[in-house]
Amino acid sequence: MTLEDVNAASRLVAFGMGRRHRPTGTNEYTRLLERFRLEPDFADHVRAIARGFDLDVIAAEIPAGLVLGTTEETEFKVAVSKLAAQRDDRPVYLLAHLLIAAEAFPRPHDLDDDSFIGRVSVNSLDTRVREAITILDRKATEQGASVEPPADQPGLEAMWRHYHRRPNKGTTAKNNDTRTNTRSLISRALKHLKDHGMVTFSSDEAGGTYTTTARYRLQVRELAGYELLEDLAALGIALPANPLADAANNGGMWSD
Amino acid sequence: MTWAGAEAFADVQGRMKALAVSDPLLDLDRARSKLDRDWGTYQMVELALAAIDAVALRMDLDEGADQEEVVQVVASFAAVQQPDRDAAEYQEVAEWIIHRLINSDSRDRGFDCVVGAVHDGDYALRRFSFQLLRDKQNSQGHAVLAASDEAINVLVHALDVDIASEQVAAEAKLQVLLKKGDIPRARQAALEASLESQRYRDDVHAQLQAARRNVRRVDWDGEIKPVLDEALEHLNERVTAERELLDLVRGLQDGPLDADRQRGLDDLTRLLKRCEDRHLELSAAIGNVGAEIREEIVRQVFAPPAVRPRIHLGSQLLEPVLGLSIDDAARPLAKFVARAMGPTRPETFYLPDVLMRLSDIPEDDHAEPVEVEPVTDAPAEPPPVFTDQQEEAVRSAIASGAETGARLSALLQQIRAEAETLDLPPNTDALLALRSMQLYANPVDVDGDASHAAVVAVRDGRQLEDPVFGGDDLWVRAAPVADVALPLQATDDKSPTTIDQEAR
Repeated sequence: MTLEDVNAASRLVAFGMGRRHRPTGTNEYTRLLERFRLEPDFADHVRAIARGFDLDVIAAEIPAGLVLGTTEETEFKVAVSKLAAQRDDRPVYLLAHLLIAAEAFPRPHDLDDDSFIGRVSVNSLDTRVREAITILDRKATEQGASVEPPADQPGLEAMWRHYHRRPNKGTTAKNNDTRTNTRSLISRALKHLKDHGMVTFSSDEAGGTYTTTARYRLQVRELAGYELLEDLAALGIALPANPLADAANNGGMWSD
Repeated sequence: MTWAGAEAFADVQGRMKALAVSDPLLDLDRARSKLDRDWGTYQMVELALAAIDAVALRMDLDEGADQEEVVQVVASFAAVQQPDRDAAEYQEVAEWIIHRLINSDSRDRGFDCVVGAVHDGDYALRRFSFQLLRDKQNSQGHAVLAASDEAINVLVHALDVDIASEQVAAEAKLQVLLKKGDIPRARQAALEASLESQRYRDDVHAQLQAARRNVRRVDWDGEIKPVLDEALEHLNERVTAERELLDLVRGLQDGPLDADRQRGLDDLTRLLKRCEDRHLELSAAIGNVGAEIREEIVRQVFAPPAVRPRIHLGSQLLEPVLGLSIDDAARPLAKFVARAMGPTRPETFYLPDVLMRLSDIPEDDHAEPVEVEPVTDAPAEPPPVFTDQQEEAVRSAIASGAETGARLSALLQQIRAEAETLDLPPNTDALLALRSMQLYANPVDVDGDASHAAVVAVRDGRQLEDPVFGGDDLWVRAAPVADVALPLQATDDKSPTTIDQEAR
């Protein structure tokens, strides 16, 4: 490996970090991705450089480009406090991200399909989660479960109930805080994803409609979804081993 | 009545499907959201056909139909239908139509209908699911629109038949029409032929894509090669036929022409050219397939297979998270977001950043803009510490006490009781203490006649016993003015009584 090779490898990492570059035609980015594909040594160098930044190479392909995944240690991950500065808004904002991923890729094989494009809109995301919440609400009422959290520990409130209590949009001219209702928080999450090159704005229809990019699909498939699954398991959430087989029986709200 | 057999019924089934495809289009005109928005006067079916048309004609090899472009085309049709509405509404109508044709409101984006089918003599109802417009990824990774086979069927009113034979038929029809010189109908036939060539291309591409995705399972000699050979042969025939048709068109252009006929012939030339280009391009692509697949084999065989479970995001992640408490969900969700967003530039102190941030309008600012108050020249007076009622109560207490002479301690107790009954602020006793101090320093005229009597406060060494104040227990009394100054000055060589407010 020569200095030129090291330079080329770090250049590919730089392309992966940036949002402006796209591998098109036979530009430098495309040529470097080709090298990554064909030369295992070069690929190892690229991975080593990324690891130096505490990043993992998730994929190197066209059109997604070099897709880098963040780790817990890295300085290069987004801070949630920057995305949703108001602590009160954070649960809904964070849930909105999961909601977007779940609605954009409704079936497991959508994540595997390289040509799949997910399409989500603010209003239908909100409607969908509220439908699911209505079912949870009814179940809780049937079981007579107490859904109110202790007064001094608001953090014990269930996510669904917290979402349920938030208005989806301002109802009167006076009570129209356009920034904290659920639809505007979903809209904000989508805008942030757009700024990161994860979704593309499509139209204003249904409160704002967006389509997913290859990069987002890879981040969700290779990293985000899997890690959340592990974290949930660590919290002791029992998951169906094979959701597709089970979904038909348990009448899961999100099954096809 | 006799049963004609399953074959005859298959034809019914085919037409049933074609009818079903038109259902979502007809629904557009019945949609409540259309009426709610006062769009009742638009013919939505026509606009939807225009949209499918626009998408189908732009589905060129890699680029696909950009949604923005399609919206513009549909909006221009809307403008023709309702010339007196404004441009923003045309845009909205167009976006709404595309939204509905993609069926974004349904999770799997599909339209469903029930179609009867006969299998082994048994009649059963089957669910037939189809799409009209769908998102697909172009070579740059952008989302573009594509029309489904079913949508193209609606346009070219063809049923579910073999595309290759359809193409041959379309060309034969075109040839007859051209020979008759029926240009309007020939133009329509050429449009159909062009759409067929597109479907054929997509069909071949889809097969190749599937082969590329999993080369390990591909049987090159048994499966792929016959398909490719057949496709190449078919394409060669098409190109020959298209060249013949182009010759026919040129022949027609030689005669005398009016403007309409000229335009029709130009369109025909353009459409036929496009078919020819598409078919040549496809031939070239098929020529490269062998090399591509071999390369893919190298890549897939040597790359380690992915070891990760398939995740159903809705039921395995979202559903459990909804049931978690806010505290439990916070960390896993924050991690999910950090992963999904990918890497970003870290926070470092970089002066241009700081300048940028200063000029940013914070996204999260909950405060509503406040009206700026006009700046006044004089600073506003601080509000008085004591109210007029308190002053009045204290003055009368001192005056009544002074007639007979009263101790400060007694006056304090009295004023506290009074303050409670009159509902005065609790600091009334402080005002009394303050006024008594002033009386010690400056005797005050009681009834406005300085020669008659004044109220004085004097020290006689007794200590004040009070829960709040400390110092001398002053003796407040009325005295003739003549008596006031001298004895005070004579005895007062020490510092005056101190009143501490330590307890306050």
